[in-house]
Amino acid sequence: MRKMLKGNISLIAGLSMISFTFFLLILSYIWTPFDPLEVDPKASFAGLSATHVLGADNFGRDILSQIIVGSRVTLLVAALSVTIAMSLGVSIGLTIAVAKRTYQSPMIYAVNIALAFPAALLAIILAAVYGASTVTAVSAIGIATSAAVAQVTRRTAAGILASDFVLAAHASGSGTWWIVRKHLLPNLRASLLIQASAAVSISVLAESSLSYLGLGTPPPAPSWGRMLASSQQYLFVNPLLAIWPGIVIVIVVLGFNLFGDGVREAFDPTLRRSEP
Amino acid sequence: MVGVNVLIFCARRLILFFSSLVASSAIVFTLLRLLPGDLAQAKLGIQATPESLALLRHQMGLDRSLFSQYLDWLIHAIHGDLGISILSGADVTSEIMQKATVTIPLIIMASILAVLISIPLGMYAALRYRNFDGVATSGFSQLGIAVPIFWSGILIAATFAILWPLLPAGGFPESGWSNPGPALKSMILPVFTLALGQGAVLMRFARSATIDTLQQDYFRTARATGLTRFQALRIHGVRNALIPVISVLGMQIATLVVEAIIVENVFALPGIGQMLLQDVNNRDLLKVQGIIAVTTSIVFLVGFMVDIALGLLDPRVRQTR
Repeated sequence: MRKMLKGNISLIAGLSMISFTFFLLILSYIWTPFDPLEVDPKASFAGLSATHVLGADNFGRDILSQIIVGSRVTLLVAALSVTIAMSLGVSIGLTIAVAKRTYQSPMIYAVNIALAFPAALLAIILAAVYGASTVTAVSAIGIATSAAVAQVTRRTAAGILASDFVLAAHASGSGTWWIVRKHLLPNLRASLLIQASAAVSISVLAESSLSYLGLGTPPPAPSWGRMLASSQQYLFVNPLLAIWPGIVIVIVVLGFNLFGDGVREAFDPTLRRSEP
Repeated sequence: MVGVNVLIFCARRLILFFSSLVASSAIVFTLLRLLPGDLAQAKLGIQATPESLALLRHQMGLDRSLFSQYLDWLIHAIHGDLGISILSGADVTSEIMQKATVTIPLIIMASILAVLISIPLGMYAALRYRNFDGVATSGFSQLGIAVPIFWSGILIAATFAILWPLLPAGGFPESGWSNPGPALKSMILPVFTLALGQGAVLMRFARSATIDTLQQDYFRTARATGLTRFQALRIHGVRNALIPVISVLGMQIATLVVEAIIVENVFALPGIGQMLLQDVNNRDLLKVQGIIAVTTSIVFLVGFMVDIALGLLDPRVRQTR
């Protein structure tokens, strides 16, 4: 582990940002400076101070407390939708990769159609039918992201299946299932880890966009996207309100992106030489 | 001479394009019919008598099978008729056409600007990848990818419309493009926001394509003939960087459409995106369906055009399925 971290700036930076995010999540259950929903008219638009470290919004609710508790929605939606995306996407991708050639084309075609519906668009459709909720957001993000996961998994798996050691295994009489278990999955591990971290970034971005548009988890649960949406009305009064939630979103997304890059670097030594 | 291969390639892509349109519209149609209750109920409210409900269902064709309803919608859609909104009574096609005069220029201008930003920056980051400024440029693109588009929109609006009031954040004129000055002015910040986000994504691909080029034999030969790194890159690098950038832009178009929807809401641009969200909140399903059909058609059309363009540019693409 220590060897993997050495000199791998992306991995170190990514892991620190991810740790910070989980620190916020754990903190939200232990301590927040204020009740994030506590309205205090006297503190309306309070600036940075010892009591309200990051200030307060129009209702006088403490910003820092809202940001800490806002991590719950973001990470809950991310965890659930990434679980859906990975399990669905990897099974579809692997099925296509090991299927007979005649069955492959229609399945690839279906995945390509699904790719035309990004998470937010699918969420908008579901919101039109069922009304916006955490459930519609999670299902939309999970299903939409699974198409991308399926595509990458299929391509990577096809590359592995075309290699000589798989041919040798075939020649020595191994069955498909054995090859998947012994050769395909171990070689896919790094790729799956990279895809999962990319999927977290995608779903955090999608969740915050949906909350911003008013199509995510409904109030009163604090959410970073909705905090930014309401901050927009008060840009003239207190522009700082538009800063903090954005910074934490960027930390989460950047953290998982850098983590993915770092894993790629750690597992692919050729990358270290050509792209330092 | 255009070979038979090229014609077969184009014909196959064309069939793929039209069948994708039909398949995706069928999916959206089915999804939107999963509504608990139905359109007739939504229009008449809870107090409606069973008789009036049945009559309206019959008038709207809701008593027929899902498949025949879809076929009916599809045939009308092919003729450019996406129906009449049940809630507002507006003609869906003409409303979309009117709003598209904002959204389509927004997407086109942003795509062009994104390519113009990403190619030089990506090539620069590749050339200087061992130096601090090259790494800083790639770091900047990492950051650009991580910033949600609505936040960069808010920050850009705060900076250029409030802190230094140079440009308007919003205020697209009622009269539309017949008032070209203010219309164009109100588009600058949204286009910039959209292009910045896309440019950050495209830049990574331009950078890695250029790093590839730097290691090629033909590049070394070009350098050996006495060209500087920069001159050699101008001849060999730009085209090689353009191919992945164009193909990624084609894949990104679905994301770009969604981001355009979000950016329209940040800058209060009266485009398709803003209309879509209003219709979602009003549960105006027929209109939502029409808008989604149009946006996915754009996505598939761009994908089709990019496929053809790449197939003509790069013979290797024609062979892949």
